[in-house]
Amino acid sequence: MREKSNSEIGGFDWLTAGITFTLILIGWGMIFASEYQTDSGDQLPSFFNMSKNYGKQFLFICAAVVLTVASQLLEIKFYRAIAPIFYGVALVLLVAVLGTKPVNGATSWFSIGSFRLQPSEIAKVATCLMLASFLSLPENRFTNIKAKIQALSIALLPMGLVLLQGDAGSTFVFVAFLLVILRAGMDLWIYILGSLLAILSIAALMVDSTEGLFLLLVLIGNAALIHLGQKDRRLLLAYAAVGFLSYNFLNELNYWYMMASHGVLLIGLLLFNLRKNWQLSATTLGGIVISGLYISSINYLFYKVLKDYQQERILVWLRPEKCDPLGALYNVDQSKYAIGSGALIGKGFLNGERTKLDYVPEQSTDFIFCTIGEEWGFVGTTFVLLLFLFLLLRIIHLAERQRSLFAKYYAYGVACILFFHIFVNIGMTIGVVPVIGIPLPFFSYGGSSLLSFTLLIALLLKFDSQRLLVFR
Amino acid sequence: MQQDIYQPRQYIIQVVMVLGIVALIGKCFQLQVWDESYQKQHSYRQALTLYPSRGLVYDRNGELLIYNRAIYDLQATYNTVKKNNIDTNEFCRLLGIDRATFEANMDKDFSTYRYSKRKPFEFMSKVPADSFAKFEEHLYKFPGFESIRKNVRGYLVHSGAHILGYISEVNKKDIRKSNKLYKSGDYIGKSGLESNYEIQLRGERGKKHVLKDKFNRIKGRYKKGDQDSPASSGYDLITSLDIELQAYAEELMQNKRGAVVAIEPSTGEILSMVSAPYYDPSILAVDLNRQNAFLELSQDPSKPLFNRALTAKYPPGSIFKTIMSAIALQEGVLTPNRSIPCGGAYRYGSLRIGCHGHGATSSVANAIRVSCNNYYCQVYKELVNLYGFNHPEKGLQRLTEHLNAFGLGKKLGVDIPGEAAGSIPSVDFYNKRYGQGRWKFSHGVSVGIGQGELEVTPLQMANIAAIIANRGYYYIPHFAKEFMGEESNILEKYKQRNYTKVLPVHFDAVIDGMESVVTAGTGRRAKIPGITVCGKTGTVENPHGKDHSTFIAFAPKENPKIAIAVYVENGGYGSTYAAPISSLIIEKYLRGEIQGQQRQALEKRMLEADLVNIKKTTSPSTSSTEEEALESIEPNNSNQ
Repeated sequence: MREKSNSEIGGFDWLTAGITFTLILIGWGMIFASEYQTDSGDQLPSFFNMSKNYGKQFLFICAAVVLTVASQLLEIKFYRAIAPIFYGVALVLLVAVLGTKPVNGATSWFSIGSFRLQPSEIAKVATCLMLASFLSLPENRFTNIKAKIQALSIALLPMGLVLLQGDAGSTFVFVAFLLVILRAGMDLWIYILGSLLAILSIAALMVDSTEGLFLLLVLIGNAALIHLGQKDRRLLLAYAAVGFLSYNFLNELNYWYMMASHGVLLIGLLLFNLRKNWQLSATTLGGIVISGLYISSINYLFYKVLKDYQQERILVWLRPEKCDPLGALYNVDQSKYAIGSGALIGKGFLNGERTKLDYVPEQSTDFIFCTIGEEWGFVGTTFVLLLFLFLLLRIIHLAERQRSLFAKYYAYGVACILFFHIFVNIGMTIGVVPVIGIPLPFFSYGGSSLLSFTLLIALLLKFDSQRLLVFR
Repeated sequence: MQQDIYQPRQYIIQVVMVLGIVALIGKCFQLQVWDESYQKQHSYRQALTLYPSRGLVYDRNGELLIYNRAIYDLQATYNTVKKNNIDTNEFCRLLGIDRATFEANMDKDFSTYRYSKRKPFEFMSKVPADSFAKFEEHLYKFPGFESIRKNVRGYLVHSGAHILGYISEVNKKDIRKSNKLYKSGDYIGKSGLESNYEIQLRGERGKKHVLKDKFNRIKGRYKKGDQDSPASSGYDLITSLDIELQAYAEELMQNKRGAVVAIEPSTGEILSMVSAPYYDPSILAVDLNRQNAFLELSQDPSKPLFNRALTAKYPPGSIFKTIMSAIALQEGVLTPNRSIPCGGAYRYGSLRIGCHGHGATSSVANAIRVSCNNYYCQVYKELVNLYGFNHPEKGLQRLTEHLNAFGLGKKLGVDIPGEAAGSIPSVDFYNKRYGQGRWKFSHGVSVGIGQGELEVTPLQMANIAAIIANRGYYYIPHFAKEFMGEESNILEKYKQRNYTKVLPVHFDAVIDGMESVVTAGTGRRAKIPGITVCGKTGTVENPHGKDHSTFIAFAPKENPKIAIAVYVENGGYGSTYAAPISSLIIEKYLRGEIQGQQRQALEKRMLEADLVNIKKTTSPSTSSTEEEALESIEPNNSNQ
């Protein structure tokens, strides 16, 4: 927890700052590459052409540097004190933006002249501060249910408002705060249950018929009963083998035979355990019934609740074979082709034809990763991803060395927001997650996102530099 | 700071993050390294072929004969066309097609691999430039349609079709042979000079690699053009043809069958080559009607596509006596003044070859003038028996070598395809037919007078005239004078002299004889006032119909400028058609015009003579001259 080089009050963590700045500079180069046109002759165009995104990005970078320096002038006390006010202002802005004219189907921006402000970016920083501030108070330990609900509300309130704007991407980012709340001591079973539900939902959407899933539930139920009730590893292994074979050779003809045989076994096991351990039987039966009902209803929910374009995005993700390669699949396919065409070492700086020829949408913003993939290949994508991972782990390291809980939970907030952005953004360009329009931190062109991400890091660095001042 | 019981949860979060990033790296590995199908997707770039302009063709005086002209192919991409809802009516009106044609051209069988709804296919081809111009202005209104400009040949002249040749679309064999240099739809020289000099004329193709965006628009050059190569145009060809003379010779040969070949003896350059019937080269120019025109020509029973001047193998007849004289003089069988009495026929045993009543042949020149059959049968006998009566194979071998040196029995190597070798009966030939040692000179004696198993092309006949004019050597007859700017030595072989085995001195008697043929012999109709023409008529016996009329000549006697052979099928006596036509071509070439009333009247008669359409008409000259009477008693029994 102590580092020799740090002075009495902690010192500035140049490593984190260096990684961040490196990422920003690489990102600037990528924006330049994504806009550079092969037919513009031998002369490299100026990096500072203000009519281009890369020129404007330079201004944003300058602004980010200024913001970082300015943010260091204020004390951690100040940030903690203004957190509720800042949070309140952000909420007001989120409400106010609902009254503006929609851009691309979402009311997410305030337009002031040519400058556009995205309040959800501000809300991210504000929520991060607010949540950290809330969790740092001793009376808000998660010993009472009220504190738990309050903590969740702090994260979910702005999330709801962003959802009202029609900006699914930014909405999703607020899920990141759930990880912070987990770190602060929220009940683990909620997360496990949530993960199970998510897996069930995905599984239900990935198959045409849910009958196979029901059999799977019975198989899992039987396995659980054998494992927990009989405590016999050999028996469990034997059943696992039988279950695996049954599931693999499942077809329409033998379905009911299999269902019947495994069902009889389930009833037998339930009855057998009823006397010894009725809780186990009850939990298993309940789990199977609830999961079955959930699976049955998920398709209904999917088609009734989600909008057409949202359904389509999820289908592109989970069921690409059901989508039109020239329609819904096109963007993701082109994005994958662009990244894939980079091969091991890439085509070289400025040689990414696929991205430049508009095959890839939003090359300098949401799909900036395509330029990295095409021009620098697997080497480049791995380098960037590892650099990001290093940054994330470094931030968690910083978090854990804070004495102040405020600074600690704030740092976790920063790490989780960054992780969500990175995972969702890169994941969507390579087809791992559905297409959700959120920027890649430090890479994507855009002032709001660059400044908000820089501010997140800058405040963290400020708090870290003051970590040795005992402060709660 | 109090104890944080939830501290281990930092590892849950770290594990989630590490697993997330590792999953992303894993997927990148699959896309970029493992699964190569993503790397092989090249739809965004395309190699365009840059077509060079084909070399132009000029005549010897610099007149342009063949130029390049544009035609257009129209390509359509089904999906783009259907998506954009174009104004079909306007489209059809501008292009001059009807709605049904439009639908038919659009409706390809997309279930086969040949067509794809996403890739361009040929909608219309060979649209001429003038009808395309108006449409092209409006092309932007019809997304999904693309025009491809192609260069094809345009002709400024209406003669010389057999020589110039034509281009046409490559077939599968051409593509295979060219190692896929040509693509389906490309044009290649298919006959004549276009075919022979395809490599020089076609130039070198270029390649341009372009990048296309997702709307299929060209956005730039692939790798800044590093892999591009420019097209370089073909070499312009200056031919040896005198196009004015060619047109005149064709006119003289209208309504006749046969051939004319005129050579400049001092260079071997072919001034004119006519194969009658002929056709206008422009009717085989690439356009929409070409297929029909070609079908019509190829089905015409008179075979206009067939180049008689190169491929027809005729017996030479009496014109052969000129080289027989030269060879015999060289071999010492004859002396210039040797006299052989003629009893009106050559007789050997039961063999009899008739001659015409003429006075004694006092010399070689005299024998040529009166075209004595007896004289040349005797010469042939003495040549074959040179090594003794019982060794005809030795003498015949010697004679064959001489004849080969005169360019007979082999391809001369002219620079347009299709040349026939002709044939001269060799030792092998007689051995095969009669058995070794079982034949004598008498079995081939009619060869001595140009009949029998001799097969000579009109080109070889003209070459004989050139050899005599040159007194013993020739250049390979050819059409290519120069490729402008070309530096290789493909034309080198046409600059080398090919010597016969006869010394120049032995041609004196022959040439004197040929002069007297025109001044006082069978070829008097070839006489041109003021120009000394040396010639020799031939009347070739034709078992299938009327005799063929033939004539070889060169002029002027001193420093000859033109050597010519004319062969008129079923023209009768050599003096009737071949001699006058030869003399008219000679005069036209040397003077540029036909002078004198008598000559102009002759020209008129030759132009009007029709040997094809009205078979029964008599020859233009009703009054047979004495010389024709002499010639009429040409032999009618060849060797058995």
